[in-house]
This record gives sequence, C-alpha cells and structure tokens, in this order.
Amino acid sequence: MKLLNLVIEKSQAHGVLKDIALQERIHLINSMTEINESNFKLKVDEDLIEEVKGLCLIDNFSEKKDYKTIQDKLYKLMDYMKLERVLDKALLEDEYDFDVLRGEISSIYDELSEIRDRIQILEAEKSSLEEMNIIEGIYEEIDFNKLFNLNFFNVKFGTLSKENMERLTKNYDNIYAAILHIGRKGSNEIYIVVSLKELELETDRILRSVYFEEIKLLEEYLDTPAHMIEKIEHRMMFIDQELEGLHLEAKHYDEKYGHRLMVCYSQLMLELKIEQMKKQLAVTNNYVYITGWVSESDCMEMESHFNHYGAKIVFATRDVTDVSHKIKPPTKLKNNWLFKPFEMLVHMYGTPSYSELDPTAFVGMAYMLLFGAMFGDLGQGLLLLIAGYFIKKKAESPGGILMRIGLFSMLFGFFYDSFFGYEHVISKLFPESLSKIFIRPIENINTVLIAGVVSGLIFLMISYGYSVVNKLKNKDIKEGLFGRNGIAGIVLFIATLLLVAGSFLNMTWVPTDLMKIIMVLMVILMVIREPLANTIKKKKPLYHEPPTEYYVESSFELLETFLGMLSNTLSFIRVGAFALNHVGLFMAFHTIATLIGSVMGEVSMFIVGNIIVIGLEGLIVLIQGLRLVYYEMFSKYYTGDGLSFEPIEVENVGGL
Amino acid sequence: MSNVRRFAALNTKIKSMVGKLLTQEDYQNMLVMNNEKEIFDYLNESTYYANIFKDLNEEDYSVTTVESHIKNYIITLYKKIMCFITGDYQKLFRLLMKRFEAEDIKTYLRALILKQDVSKLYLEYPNASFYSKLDYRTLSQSSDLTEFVECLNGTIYYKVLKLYLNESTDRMLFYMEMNLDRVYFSKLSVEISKYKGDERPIFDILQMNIDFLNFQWIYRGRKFYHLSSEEVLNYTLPNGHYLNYELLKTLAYTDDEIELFEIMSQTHYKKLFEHDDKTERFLERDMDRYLYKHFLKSDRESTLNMVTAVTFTHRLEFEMRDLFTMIEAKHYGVSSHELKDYLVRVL
Repeated sequence: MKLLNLVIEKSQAHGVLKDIALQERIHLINSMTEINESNFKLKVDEDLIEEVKGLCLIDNFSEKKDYKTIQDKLYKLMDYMKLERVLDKALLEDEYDFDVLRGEISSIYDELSEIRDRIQILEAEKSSLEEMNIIEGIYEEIDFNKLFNLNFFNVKFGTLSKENMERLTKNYDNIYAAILHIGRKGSNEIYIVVSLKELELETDRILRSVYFEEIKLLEEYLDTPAHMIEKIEHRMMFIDQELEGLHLEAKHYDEKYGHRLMVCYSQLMLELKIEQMKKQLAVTNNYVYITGWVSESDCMEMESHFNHYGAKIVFATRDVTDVSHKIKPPTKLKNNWLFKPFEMLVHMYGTPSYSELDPTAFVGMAYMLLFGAMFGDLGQGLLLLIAGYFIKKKAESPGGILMRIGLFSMLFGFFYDSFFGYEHVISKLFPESLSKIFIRPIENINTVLIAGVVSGLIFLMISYGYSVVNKLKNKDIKEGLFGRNGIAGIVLFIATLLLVAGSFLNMTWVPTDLMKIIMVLMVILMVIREPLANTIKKKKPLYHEPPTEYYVESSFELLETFLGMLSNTLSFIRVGAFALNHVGLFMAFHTIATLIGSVMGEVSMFIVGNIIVIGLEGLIVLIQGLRLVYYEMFSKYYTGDGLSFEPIEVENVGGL
Repeated sequence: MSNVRRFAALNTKIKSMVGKLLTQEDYQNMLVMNNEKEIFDYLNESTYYANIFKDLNEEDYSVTTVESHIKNYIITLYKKIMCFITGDYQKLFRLLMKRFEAEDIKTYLRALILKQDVSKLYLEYPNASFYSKLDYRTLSQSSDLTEFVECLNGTIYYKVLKLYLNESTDRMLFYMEMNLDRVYFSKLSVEISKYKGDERPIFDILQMNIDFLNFQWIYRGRKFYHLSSEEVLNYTLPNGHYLNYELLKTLAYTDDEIELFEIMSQTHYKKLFEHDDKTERFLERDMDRYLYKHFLKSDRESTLNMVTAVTFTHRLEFEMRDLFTMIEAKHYGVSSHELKDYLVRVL
C-alpha cells in the first residue's frame, strides 16, 4: 500500500474525481483527518508557495448540488417506461456534461407531461378509492348521500382507536357531537361524527386530540354502502385499464429515449458517487486535496494516468512507514483461485491488519482438510459440490467454499470407501490388491482418532509459526520470543509432547534430563517475559504493574498454558470422532431399513437418511470446522483488527 | 442472586460516577461568581468537567458551545453506563435515552417554526447515534417544517406531528411539543409497567412525572393557548399517580388558574402550591425539586435494582439544567441571591 496525496486545481476536481470513481483502485480516506494529523506532505515547489499558505484556510467541500429533483424526474420517467434501474458501467466511458443531461431529462419529462399528468390524477384517485374501500366493513344501512348533504349538520367519516373512543365516551356529556360506531374492518373501528356546522372548529380540534383519522368520501360515490362498493369496483377496473394504456403509451417513448435514459441513469449514479466522495476532500480557495490508499502495483500506472492533467495536478505518494500510525492502512487480500472464497471466513472473524500475515491460504487448506476428514463421503460430497456450483451464481464466496469442501469430502470419501453411506461399494470396483488404500473409519477407530489428534498437532504447529512471525513483525519481543504463543511456547510445547509421547511409546529421542532442563528454562522465560523484553528494549519501567501482581498473574497464566496445550490438542479428537459419527448415523438408518424389510423401506430410508445426514451432520461439521479454525488456531496468532481495502466505485443506488 | 449478577457491577460503576458530581460547595462557589467566564474556568479547573473542555480553545468559550459540550459529555457518561447494563434492562435504558431524541426533535421544530437555518444543527449532536436511529444529517437538510416532518415518516412521532402542520404558528409548537411528550411517555409507561414488580419506585416516579405533565398541559393549554376543556382533557396521559381521570377532568374544566391552583392545593401535591403569589413562578422548579427528592429517597431505600441507574441519569440531568441556569443567569447578570431560587438543587 502507498498513501496517495493529490492536489488539484478546483476546476479539475470533477474530472479527477470521475477518474478515481471509474478506476476503482483508490481507497479514499478523509483528507481533513489526514491534514489534522499534520501528515499531508507535498513536494513544495516555488510556484506552490502561495497554495501552501492557503493551507491555513482548509475546509470541507461545502458546495452542494441538488440532484434530488432531477433524480425524481428520471426515476418517474423510467417507471413510466418500465425501465429497470441497472447500472451499466460501459455507458460511463464517454465524456459528458451533467448539466446537459439535466436539461435533456427535463425536456423528455416535459414531453411526457400529458401522460404524466393523467397518470398522476388517476393514481391519486385510485389511492383515495382504496382508502374508501373501508366502507366494506360497515354493517349499518346508511345513505351517505342524504347524510352528507344535511343543512345544519356536518358529518365526518373515519376511524378511531378503541382506547381513544373510550376517552371520548368518558367525557361524552361535554362534547357537542354525536359519535356513532357503524362498522369495523380489520383492526379499524369505523365511526361517523355528526356535529352542528357552527361548532365545526371545536369538533375538529377535539377529534384531532384523539387522533381521529378522517376518510374523505368522494362526492360522486355517495350512496348506500353496497352501491358505493359496486361503484368503486367498477371505477377501479376502469382506472387500472386506463393506467395500463398510459404505460403502454409511455412505452412508445422507450424506443426513442430508452437508451438515453439509461445513459442518464448510469451517469447520475456516477454524479452521486462523486458528490459522496466530496465529503472526504479538503478544499482551499483554489485547490482540492485528495488522500487515498493505492496498492503498490497500481501506483505507477496511477501516476502516469494523472500526468494527463499536467501542471494542474500534484501527485505524491508515501510508503506506509512514513505515514502516521494513527492512520491505518487498509489491507488488500491477494489469493489464488483455490483459496479466494475462504477470504470470506477470514473477514467474518476480522480483516487482517496491514502488518499481519494473510492467513487465508492456511485457513482454506485447514478447513478443506478438516471438513473432508469429518464428512468423508464420495456421493454426499458430490451433492455438496453440485449445490455449491448453483449457489455460486447467487453468492460467490459461500458457493465457492461449498464446492471446495464438497470436493475434499469426495476425496476423503473415496479413501473411507463410503458412497452415500454405503461402505464396501467403492472398493469392489478396484482389484483386491488395492484394498490396502481404503481406511474405513468404523473398522479403524483408534487409527482415525489418533490421526485426528496428529493432524491437529500439525495445524497447531503451523499456527504457532504464524504467531511468531506476526508478533516479530510487529516488534513484539515479549510475546514473540517469550510468550506462550511465541518461540518459548513452541519449544515448551514440543518438549512436552516428546516427553509424553516418549513415555507412552517407551522410546527416547532426546535425553529425558535435557528435555526437563529445556522445559524448566522455557517456563522461567515465560514467567519473566515482561521484565526480560523491557530490558532488551532498554525500556523503563520494567513492569507495567506492581511486580508481585505481575508474578501472581504470570504463574496462573502458566497453569493455563499447560491446560491449554492439553485441551487444544485433544480438541482435534473431534475430527476423528465426526468421521465415526458420520458412519454411525448412517448405520442407524441402515438398521431401520433392514427392520422394515421391504425394498420400499430400504429406498425411503436411504433417501431420508441421506437428507438428514447431509442437512444435520453437514451443518454440524461445517460449524465444528469453523470452530477449530477460529478458536484453536486463530486465537493463537490472529488479531484481525485491520481495515479492508475498499476502492471507490460507482454503485447502483436504485430506489429513491 | 440474579440481581447481584445484573446490578452489582452497574451500581459500583455508578457509585464511582456519583462521586464526581458537583458538590454543594461547587454550587456555592459558582453562585457568587461575576460572569459566565468565571464559571467556565471553575469547571475547567476544579471539577470533573475539566476533561470535556480539553479540545476547546480559550476564544471558543461561549454559552452555546459550552452547553453543547456539557450535554454531549453527559451522553458519553450514559454510553459508559450502558456497557454495564444487561439483558432486558438494556431495552429499558435505551428507551430512557430516547428522551434526548424527542428533545432534539423539539429543538429542530422550534428552529424551523422560527424559520431559522437548521443545516448545521446536526453538528450539535455528535452522539445522536447512541440514542436515536434517525439520521440527523438528513433531518438538517429539510428547509421547512413539512419537509422535516416527512423525514420522520416511519417513526412514532410522524403521525402526531403531521396533524398539526396546518395549525397557526403561535399554537403549533405547543401542540407538537405536547404530543411528542405524549407519545414518548405513553410508550415509556407501557414499557416500565412491565417491570412493575421489581422496579416499583421507578414506576411511581414516572407516574408522578405524568401527573406533572398532565397538570402543565392543562395549565398551559388553558391559560396560554385557549384550548377547550374537552380537547385538553383528551391530551392528558392515563396512569398518573395521584391525579386520576376524575381529578384531571375537574382541573380541565376550571375557569382560571386561581381555581386550578386551588384544586391542586387540595391534592397530594399541595406543598407545591403554597407560595401564594409566587406559585406560578416557581412551579416548574418545584416540580423538578419534588422529583429530585423522590429519586434520592428511593435510591436510598432500594438495594440491587435499576433505581440507582435511573436516579443517576436524572441527577446528571438536573445538574446539567442547573449548570445551564447558572451560566445563563451569569450571562444576563441575574443576582446570585435571585439565581438561587431557580436551581433544582436546594442550597
């Protein structure tokens, strides 16, 4: 990553911002923060002196353009013509002037004004008719026509909540209006309110204080409820037909203007993005400052690109090491196609910080192996693979992960000699001499469990390796060299392992006494790691807390370290256990099938069994795999407190 | 046992925060100062508020900036408290915090009714996201009242505010503020009544608060805005403590404030109405004092429950109000003797 500082003449700002949006390679950060960290470094030439003086008067971009009205118009037009709002980035390549587009949209909008007006009128009528539909709930036989044309009385029709009606009832003796319940539709209680015309104002106020919602009945529909409903239905049908006709009419304009509108839409999206980007800029009277991160590989290309602007732009980049540590560089993960989808798993835990190793490859490999080992089945794996293929079209990463773990499930399934839960099927296809390559978990319980633990040990060792590298990269001597996940921790772990394994197998690889001495030494290093590290770094004070407290804490940590070693290692037994579990579950279904005894029973159990095994056990294994990756491995070496690299790009904002 | 788990940490945190509140002595010291500048210096040098003015330059000290700093600081304290609250109580506390949202909306309404520019107003509420889901930036973009109310579409306030958009300007604010409070407090009382068993004291105080609100609405609505008795009665909230519906009805149908006070002086709140001709002047202060006293009392009597936290939030708020009163009084040159009478805390 490199930090990019751009200074541009204000007149060019729009063009440069457009370039940045189209390039999709710059991760913008707020220039104001950068300047406040007094980090905005420029190569100061003579002719820039004036501008540098102007730095004292920096402010945010306050110039604001109004896109709301034009957006509104454009969206309406697109709706009339039934155009879908999709962003076509190819349309953004051409040069354009948004003010011209603005004019164009307005003129098309005016051209369609007749259709537009009619649509608006009809839609307004439709919505008030829909509101009137509430009269369906009226149970009284009333003639609204008579009611609404009284000489001395005012009538209002509407809904009122039960609780508020209660309020009115309590004080009914003081209210100069008759309030009658005439029906109910859904949760709406329907009332009519009759009051003297002279008291209209008072009545209105009282009704408002109980949140009476008046429903306007259109003059021409006033009749008995039954007749009104008939009229409304009739009219509604007519309106729908009419609206459809109008939309068809608008559709004719599609051929004429459709493409132009799509261009306008895409460019509006770009304009909106630019407007959004402006919030992150700093501005003086004549110049605009842009700050952002670019990856090192893109840096040269960027520079040559911006050189087009000649003297109107000043381009400067800085390495991460020169930037204030308060501004975190974002992390751009780079992985090959095999591990790419697993970036999702890493991001789910946290984005690696810039100085951390990207664990994706290790995560991917570990996850595929663990899942395959726990859920090994040639047939079921194939189903996962196929499912993954289809999901991939909708959701890239999850589908990709599913395909890969499906593949590994097939691989292990082959060696487990398991096909849709049936063992001894695959091996029959191969000559007897090859039967040694198949390891059926249920027949080799101990081997499978031990293999689980051993593979776990390997994963743990790799995790320790990552941990040491990460910590030393951050110059954390205390944890990297002497910590429990540092070199001292690894040595202690290996020594303990050798000692324990040696005593079980009655073998000695390294003299036991030497081993014990090493262990004691490591333990001492771990206990005194803080003062030790501070002495090496020549930092004072040696302890960040009272020494007694530090040593009490340290010795408890030691206890936890030993416990952790044991539990972390044993945790991987689950890999073997789930491999067994997988077979066991299917054996249960197989037994049920035998008990039923018919072919139908066999077939149905085969299907039900497989569905349950894939659905239930598949899910469990998916989660257990994640657990092992996150808890046993990540907790050792990974902090994941970075920011991900999100270059500016034009987005399809869509709805208003 | 479960209450120990829920409240032990919270109450300890609050105990330590209570220790940092302004003392009686602080009040006395500030009371005799000559201008608001001296108060700022005092806060800065001798009290816990010193932290909040760190990023403020000497020349930036003005009544408004200091006040908004104090307010935002208090919200950061609430944020801290929030970290110690668990489970369902978080929801309750969040609702209590929503009070600020209602108050902010009132500020917007006030500014918009007076046709002031609100485009920069959102800057006053940097902590808004803590208590509100509204986007204050969008709110600030509205150029008139109708647009502003439209921005609130989808919130509990929308429906009630919309009703008063066509009201005359001199009454509109009263209607809107009253209805904002109404909506908020009815929601709060529904929520708090769920905790009636464990948190009786809070519920009691809320009920008293509702009594005061109801009384104020009747009083102001009748006296200054000439609402009809029926209308004003409909606006009152149910669930009052000592003022039941019948009593409220009598209050709403009184002819003038003399009769209104007369009736009130026969209720449980009679002490508040014994100032003779000064009653009106000190009414608001007395109501605050009354609530403050009750909070302190129930805090003393309660052990492990939410009362401590809720009391603390109110103590902070009363302190904030007193500070504002003092700052403004000094700004306008009110004598310290007179000022004393306007503070919630009794000196």
